[in-house]
Amino acid sequence: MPRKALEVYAFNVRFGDAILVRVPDKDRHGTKTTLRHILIDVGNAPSGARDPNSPPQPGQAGGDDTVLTPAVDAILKVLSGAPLDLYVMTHEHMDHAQGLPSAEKNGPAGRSLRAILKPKHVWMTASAEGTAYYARHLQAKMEFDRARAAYAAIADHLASAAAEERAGLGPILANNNPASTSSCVEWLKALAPDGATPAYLHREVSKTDLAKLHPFEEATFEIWAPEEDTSAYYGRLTPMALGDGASAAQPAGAPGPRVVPPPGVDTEAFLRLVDLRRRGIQENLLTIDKAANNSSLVFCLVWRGWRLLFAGDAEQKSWQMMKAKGVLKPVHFLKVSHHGSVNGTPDPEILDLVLPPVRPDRKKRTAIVSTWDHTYGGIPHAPTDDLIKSRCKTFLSTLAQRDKPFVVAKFL
Amino acid sequence: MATARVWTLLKDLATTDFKDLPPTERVTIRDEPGFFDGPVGARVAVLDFSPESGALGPGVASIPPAKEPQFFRYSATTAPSLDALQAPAFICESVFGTVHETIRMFEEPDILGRRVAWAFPGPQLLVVPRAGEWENAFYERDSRSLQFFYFPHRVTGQRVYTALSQDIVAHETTHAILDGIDPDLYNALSAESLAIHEAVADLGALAVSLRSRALQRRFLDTTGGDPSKWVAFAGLAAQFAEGTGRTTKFLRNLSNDLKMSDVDATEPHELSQVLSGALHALWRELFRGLKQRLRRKEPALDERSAAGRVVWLAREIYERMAFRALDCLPPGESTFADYARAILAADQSGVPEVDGPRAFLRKEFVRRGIAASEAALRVETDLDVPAVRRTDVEALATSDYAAYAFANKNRRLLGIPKDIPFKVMPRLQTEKLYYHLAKPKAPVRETLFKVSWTEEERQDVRGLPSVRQVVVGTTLSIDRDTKRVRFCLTTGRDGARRERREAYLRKLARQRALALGADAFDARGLARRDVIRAEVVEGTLRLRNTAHMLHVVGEV
Repeated sequence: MPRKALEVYAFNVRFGDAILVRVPDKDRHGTKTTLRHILIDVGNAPSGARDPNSPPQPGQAGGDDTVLTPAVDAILKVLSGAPLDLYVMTHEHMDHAQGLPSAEKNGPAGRSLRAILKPKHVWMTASAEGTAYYARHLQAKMEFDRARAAYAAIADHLASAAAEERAGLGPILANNNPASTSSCVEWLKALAPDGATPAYLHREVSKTDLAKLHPFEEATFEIWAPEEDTSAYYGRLTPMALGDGASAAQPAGAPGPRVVPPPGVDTEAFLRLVDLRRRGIQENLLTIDKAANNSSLVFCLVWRGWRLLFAGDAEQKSWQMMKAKGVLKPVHFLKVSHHGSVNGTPDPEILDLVLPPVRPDRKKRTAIVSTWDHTYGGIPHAPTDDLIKSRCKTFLSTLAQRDKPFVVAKFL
Repeated sequence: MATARVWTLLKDLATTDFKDLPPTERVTIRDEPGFFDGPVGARVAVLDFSPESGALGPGVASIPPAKEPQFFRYSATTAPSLDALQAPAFICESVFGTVHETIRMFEEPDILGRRVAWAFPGPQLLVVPRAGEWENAFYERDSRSLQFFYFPHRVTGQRVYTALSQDIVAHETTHAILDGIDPDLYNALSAESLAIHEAVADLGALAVSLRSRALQRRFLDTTGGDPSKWVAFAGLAAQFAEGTGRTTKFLRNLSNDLKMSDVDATEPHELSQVLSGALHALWRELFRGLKQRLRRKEPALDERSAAGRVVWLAREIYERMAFRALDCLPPGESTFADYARAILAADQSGVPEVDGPRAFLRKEFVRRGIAASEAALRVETDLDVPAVRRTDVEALATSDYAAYAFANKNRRLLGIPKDIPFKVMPRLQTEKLYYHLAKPKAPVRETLFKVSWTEEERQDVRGLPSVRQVVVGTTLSIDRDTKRVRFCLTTGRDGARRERREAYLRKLARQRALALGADAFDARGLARRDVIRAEVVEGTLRLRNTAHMLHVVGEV
């Protein structure tokens, strides 16, 4: 009987992640092998990011809810009726969380994905626990509340702002929408088996405790991130040119007046100022976005000498923390973080610890990036792709194979 | 060329109400090609973005003169009523006037003696008077703008506009002017360099107040000319302090006795008060000394009359001493001691026969811990330097090649170490007034030759490389007519400069204010504005845009 390979599938959800890992897992006696399955995330940038009154803008192509049901159907096809041994939600972003609830809502009437998937264990990033987590971590709560307040102010402002000011911000605004994200996270929490709650994980969880949170006997797991206290991931917010919203000049969603330099004003300076004023809003949205990305549950799956790293959307700060804590080790597989953004892949100095320039053993190295173009500014990022390609024999991209339902990497 | 007369707010509404003063006064803006709606001029443009919608409003309409040689106006010739003072139109007019008044002050022959130049390319400083809700205001080089925010008064709930504070507007304008004079301070590695920015900005705000005839009259009438009883010439931004619920009457009080050992050496705003306090003391001393001398000369004069006769002169000398030095500061990292030497050199070369104010300042700088000893502040002026005498100074001023050749040939004179690259700044041609006891004051045509270079020093800051780059330099002042060197100042090496830089960098690193490599850029590859960019080149650290936003209230 041929040896079964470990397979990592990245389903094409446009701008998002939907990763399925099939692991041939021997029992402790080494006599019986069970094919076990881990589903990581499932989501994409919401269609709601589109502005119906504006011409197509960069940032809209990857947000398409209609691809989610076919993607989930493709996942179910690969599963072939097998239950999920583990479902992992890396972090609270729509492009990682909305896929399953959306597919249940928009898929065949009456289909219960929970009943079909039957997850035995559910892992979530620690802060997804919500109220109880923030009651234990007051600094994180303060930062979280501050970010939420800034988000609300930005959303209010953009609802009545000039079209130029809204341009390109739709996806990031929709992806961080606390209301829609919360409803998806609550839906995913209910995936946990009857009477159980998800395991809310962070790096400080002990190996012994972690071993009780999955059924794998041969494969093992290491949690590399996040920090238990996520306050470390919040950056400073930039002051923004926002109004109090009391006298919005335009109805919500309507195109605002075009901003042109008045007579006598240096055009270049004026346009620069307008751009930088807009960037204050963008920067804060990115800061809020980054904090959630950095709270990603990053874990390493160790199987028969292979080390496979699933990095969620971890950004620089998370990588720096992982380095500082000494958890980074060479791996053979990398699920490229944050859809291949320049901030998702660590500086070469840190990357050297994960994918050293010279292979430490004879095993081939593979990376998969799940991404889409014209969705988030700066993604895809060719120099980042090239850096990872320089370290891996195989580089698979859902974007490069956009017509296929998935890309798959195999490990024997 | 056109002239405009505009109404500006005097100090702020809390001060003028308390002092029972008219809240506004008129200023004249000269030598502009024209004035557009906004107000917009060739060098300053006010852009009134609606804080609610973000849309750009029409601004206040320009009223051209009916006939020459009348003035452009933006409102009625009569003073605006109290009700009109919070209207966007007046805010725009007032901020335009104060920014211009501050520029005018710096350009006078007693101070820079030349047109101010911005640190950014382009002719205009943009001013956003209602930039949003926040208890702050800032100058930002990247957006070429001053941005003034507003906030609800903590007690009354009424909106407080920072653009309606003459002190705050003059403070931020001074940041923009100083950035044009010494752009290296923007990339400073030390809190002390940034504190020079803050101190000079505070002193600029104070100087604009000192120029107000209305304030001077009330000062003389109510105190008889006693600065200790007149807080409006020492305290800044009273309404801002009140509105933000501070326990102090002012955002900052320049009448202080702070020493270097009293303040947090890593906090630029706090640190700045030592320098601004020393220079404010100079103004009081000048005023006191001049008044005393006049009364000795004319014993029949009463205190008030004597004060009235010297108040203008004291202000002029104070401004000349405090601000002329800005052009003289060596480029690069500077300490208060460097600034002190620049003040003393500029004054000694300009008014060689009168040492009294300089003697006072030397003592004051030592007393406050800015310099270890008066000897450390010694400067040489009016020198015959053969290398300069033999040089074609006009070519030096206009030819980059000649300037580089001169610097390379005279490394020793300029303090440039052997075999390292250096940068020559565009030469400044000034025409400043100089004073001699036996002769009337006269303009001197001067060329300011500035050269900078980088030096490396070791550091031990967690997460940062072990070596950092420090920019230092020399300013050489040459009398274009006599070819005598008026002074030559090189960045000092005294004091605990390295330790202070180290402490500041540690603080920035601890506060996560530094971003290395790709982390300094957002997902779109654009430089982030919420961090200070730390570049590592061949294992050596250098900072960029440390002062990327110069706020009226400290952020880092």
